Amino acid sequence: MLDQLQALQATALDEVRAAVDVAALDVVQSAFLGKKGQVQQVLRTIGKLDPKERGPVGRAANEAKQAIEAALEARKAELLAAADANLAETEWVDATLPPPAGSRASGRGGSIHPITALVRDMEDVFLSMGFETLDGPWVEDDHHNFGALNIPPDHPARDMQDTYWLTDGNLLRTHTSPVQVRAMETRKPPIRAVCLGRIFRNEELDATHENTFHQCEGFFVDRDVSVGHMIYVLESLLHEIIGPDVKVRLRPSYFPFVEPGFEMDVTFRGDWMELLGCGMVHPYVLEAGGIDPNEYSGFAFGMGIDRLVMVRHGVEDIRHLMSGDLRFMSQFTGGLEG
Amino acid sequence: MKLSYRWLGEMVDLTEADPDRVQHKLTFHTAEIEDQEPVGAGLAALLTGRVTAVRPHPDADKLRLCTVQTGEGEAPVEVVCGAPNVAEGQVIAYAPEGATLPGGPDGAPITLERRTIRGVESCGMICSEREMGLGEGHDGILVLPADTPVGVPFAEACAIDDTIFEVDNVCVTHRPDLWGHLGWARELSALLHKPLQAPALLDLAELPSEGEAFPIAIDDEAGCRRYVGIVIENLTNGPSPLPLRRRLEALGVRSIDLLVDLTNLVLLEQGQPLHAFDLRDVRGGEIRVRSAAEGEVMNTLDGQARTLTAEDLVIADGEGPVAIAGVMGGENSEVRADTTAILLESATFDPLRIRRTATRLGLRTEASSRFEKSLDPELALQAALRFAGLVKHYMPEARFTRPLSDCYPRPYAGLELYLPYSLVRRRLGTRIADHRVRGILISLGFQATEDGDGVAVKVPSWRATKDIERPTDLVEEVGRVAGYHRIASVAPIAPMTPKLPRPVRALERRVAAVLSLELGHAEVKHRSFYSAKEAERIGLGAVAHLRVVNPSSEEHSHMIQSTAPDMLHTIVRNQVRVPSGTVWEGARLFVPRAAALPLERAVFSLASWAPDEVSPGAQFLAMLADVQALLTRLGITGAEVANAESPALCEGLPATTWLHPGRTARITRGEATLAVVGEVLPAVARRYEVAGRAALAEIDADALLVAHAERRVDYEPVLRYPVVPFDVAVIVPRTTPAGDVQRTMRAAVDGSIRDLHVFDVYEGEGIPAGERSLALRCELFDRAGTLSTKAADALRKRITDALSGAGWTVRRS
Repeated sequence: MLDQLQALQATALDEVRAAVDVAALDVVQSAFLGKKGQVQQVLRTIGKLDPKERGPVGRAANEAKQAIEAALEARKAELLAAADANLAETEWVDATLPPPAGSRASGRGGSIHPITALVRDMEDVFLSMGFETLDGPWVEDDHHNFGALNIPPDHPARDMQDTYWLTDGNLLRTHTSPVQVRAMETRKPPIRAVCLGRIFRNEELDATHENTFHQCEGFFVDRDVSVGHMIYVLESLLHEIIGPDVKVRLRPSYFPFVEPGFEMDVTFRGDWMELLGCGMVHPYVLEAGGIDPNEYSGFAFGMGIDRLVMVRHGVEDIRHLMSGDLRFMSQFTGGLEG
Repeated sequence: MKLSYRWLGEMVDLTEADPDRVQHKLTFHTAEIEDQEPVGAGLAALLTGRVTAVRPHPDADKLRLCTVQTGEGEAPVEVVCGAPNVAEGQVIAYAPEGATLPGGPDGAPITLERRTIRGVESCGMICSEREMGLGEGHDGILVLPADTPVGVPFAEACAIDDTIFEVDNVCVTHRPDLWGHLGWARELSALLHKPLQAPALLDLAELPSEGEAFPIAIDDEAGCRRYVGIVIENLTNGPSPLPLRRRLEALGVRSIDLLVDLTNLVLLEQGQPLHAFDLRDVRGGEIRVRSAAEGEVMNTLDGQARTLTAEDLVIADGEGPVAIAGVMGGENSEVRADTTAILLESATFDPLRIRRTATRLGLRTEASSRFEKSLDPELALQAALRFAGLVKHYMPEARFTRPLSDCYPRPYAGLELYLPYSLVRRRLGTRIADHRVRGILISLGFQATEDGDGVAVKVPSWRATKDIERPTDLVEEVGRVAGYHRIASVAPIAPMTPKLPRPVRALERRVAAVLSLELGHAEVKHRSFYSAKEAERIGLGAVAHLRVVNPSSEEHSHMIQSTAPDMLHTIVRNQVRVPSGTVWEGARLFVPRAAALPLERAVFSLASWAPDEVSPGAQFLAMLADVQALLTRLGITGAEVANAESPALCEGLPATTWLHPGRTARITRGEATLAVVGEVLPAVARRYEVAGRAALAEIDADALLVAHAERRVDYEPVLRYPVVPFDVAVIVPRTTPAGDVQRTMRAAVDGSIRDLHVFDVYEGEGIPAGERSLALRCELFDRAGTLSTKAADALRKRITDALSGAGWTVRRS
């Protein structure tokens, strides 16, 4: 019986050594140590033995069992280590393949319009500087779009704004500046606010002309607000949306609602680019908004969002922005935080 | 507007400022110079030459052989010339071989080569104006004044080389003084610290002081601030000399004759429009400035008959109008080649009247665009005297026969402002030395005397019309001349008030994140217009729209009341390449109303399309699920879905007749409609050529905002006892919504049922025609303890009783 056990152990240990993988090892384990395994069978016959032999055989059987278990354990560790060592080859998967059908990301389109994305970026910068974000009607009256902005009827500056007039006597706002007027009607200084929204200009459409635009209007009215403050706020904005290396410069320009008025140029990919109009809110505009220009001053600026989107992404034809064409839209798959 | 570098250089020393520097100075301190273009550069190789002999060509009647001398010591050259006017002794423009001329026979530049013309070799060319790109003259060669030096570069001898600047007119809308070269020269004088050499005027003393001035009356004083008239006789009109013609043409003004050219020259120099009437045609020997009679007709010098209104201002003689004031002269009194006597008009008209007339008549002239900028009334006399001086220069025999006529009822009274130094510092945010502030103002022609902590400023008349009105306007003058680059960036100090996105903006962000990033829709944008045809096509032809009075295209005449037309077009446009897809946009709909402003309804609009229907109504149901998923993600609870036919999104908006009557739903919450979702009506889909099935949804952003503001999570304690699953199948009429069945079940065992949903729908064998079987699954529970078998049976019975009670057949449970 003891010999039989010794032979059994030797066979088992040989087979353990011969096993080439964990699965083979499992077969060996159940063949010898399973409920119907050979060691178990030996143990089951112990009851039939002479009582004197039961002790030594039982001990030998247990020793054999432990030896086999130890060998199995060792071999298993050995095999796992060997398998782990070679994963780079044995389990290599081509990372450039498409995901399997039905995976969470397969077949998902989803894109954010580049104008929406830029508007969010800009709003975030202004919110972080304590500006309110305002909105206003797209259909405006003459007073808010022109009159209160120091552009009375028949003023030559109306030529600067190709206006769409409506059958009810109103107009489609030609800039976001009316929101400035509306803000002053309901607020007292200090006022820090921006409005990013849609505007309209009467233009024939082609690759460089649209009739539907988006503009970012910002203004800041308080005691002793200066041109220097305006430069700071605009620089802060442009650092975030163009880059920390951006440089700005002011040139004199004319807008009836500011005095002095400026154009701001920025460096973009190595060149100066005309970006926005700005200036100190005209005293007339403050007065029209019920604010005493002797006590308060402010700056205001307006910049076209569409053109910035175009240079940001290298878009060659402005009509893409309003086209609803997924070949264009579906390229803008990110760009929205929260 | 164009500016001549050479001309500016005649009024201010530019020897140290090349065109680039001038452009830079003006752009950064005055107004944007958009561009510069050299002229006459292509003529660098041309020389002046003298024709010393002219002989007939041996083999051609119309050609002649000319000997041209191009300077002392140069060998004379032989040139074949076809011009009839070539003659011995003339000084001409000679192009040697190798020279490139701008205007070849076909209008393209040509390079001269030595060539043989009918057997005679020709060496270079004697040039006409057209060949040199200097004008239309091609009747013969250009003959230069006899005293022109010979053998020198032609462009230099005739003052042709120049640089023309292009001004961004918009930037000088408020600066009437910058609508002539003199104003720009004044700017350069201040910027370059060089004195201004203003053009010489005729001394008033040269006009007779005795006798009667030409009678001029201003009947409409609101329309005309000043009217200066000068009578000049003994004139010999004719073509202008080349340098004068060149000056005008380089600036885009066609040369007519000397008298007209001189009015234009003064216009371009002083910025004051002038008009010369032929004295023969001024009937009745008087001029009146009056409002036109309603319906009065006059022929302008462009040959058009113009019907006038009382709004228009006219210049009339004793019999009728001779000019539309400030806009255009009349055909009946224009200067002609044989004009020998003129009445010169130099006036200041009301800017708004001129602008309205010019706009109404569609006649935006050089004159009207200046008058509408509010001209300086003092300039009227100055420009008239400048013109008189020029006439005297070009026609020395001209005589001023009558005293000056000058109607100036309300002379310029002067404008005085006080500029505190502190205002400069506070507005610009930078310190500019006090003496510099004063110096800048003086350099621009202001009188500025120090007075306490500031300067007392007298505004010159040319800056006092709608330009400089307040001290801040002076801050601009100081700032721009000192240079805006000097202003440093300064962080404002402001109260630390927290600012979060407004709720509507926050909602828009969430909607975008869910629709685009979670549900995988592409955001698009459409314009806010459609055409009348489009309104008709979608079925809104009879609905009153807010319309654009002056659309740039018929496509954009109506303000949208539905996003459906744009969405359908986007579907069709994309279907070619993208067989199935989903898009959304944030839009506004416009409804006319009696209030001051129309109703603007913000909506979120969705569209989806697919070539095949995987199951009946799949597009519709998928869209509905997306909208519901959006509501869930926004935390909006209590939304109810129900089938509906052509529901309107909100009061005022039209019925959605383009949606499928059997596949449209309204999502409501309380009284409010949150959304309308539906499949496109097959007939509409065919009309738009949509392939397959498409679904549309419009979500009312305002209603969504209200619902979003009310969002809250009502926590229910976690259930601590086992639940009993329960399935039931019920046969209902085909068009009975499952939602009704679910409502009935919930009502029967309120508070003891959860997770109720349909898991199968069956129609066909075993079910009566016109009916269908709904299989529903739910869990029954008791919050207070384990549900006993008996209690569960009781709940089941209440459910099945309620279903039967509603008239439905419970198939199994």
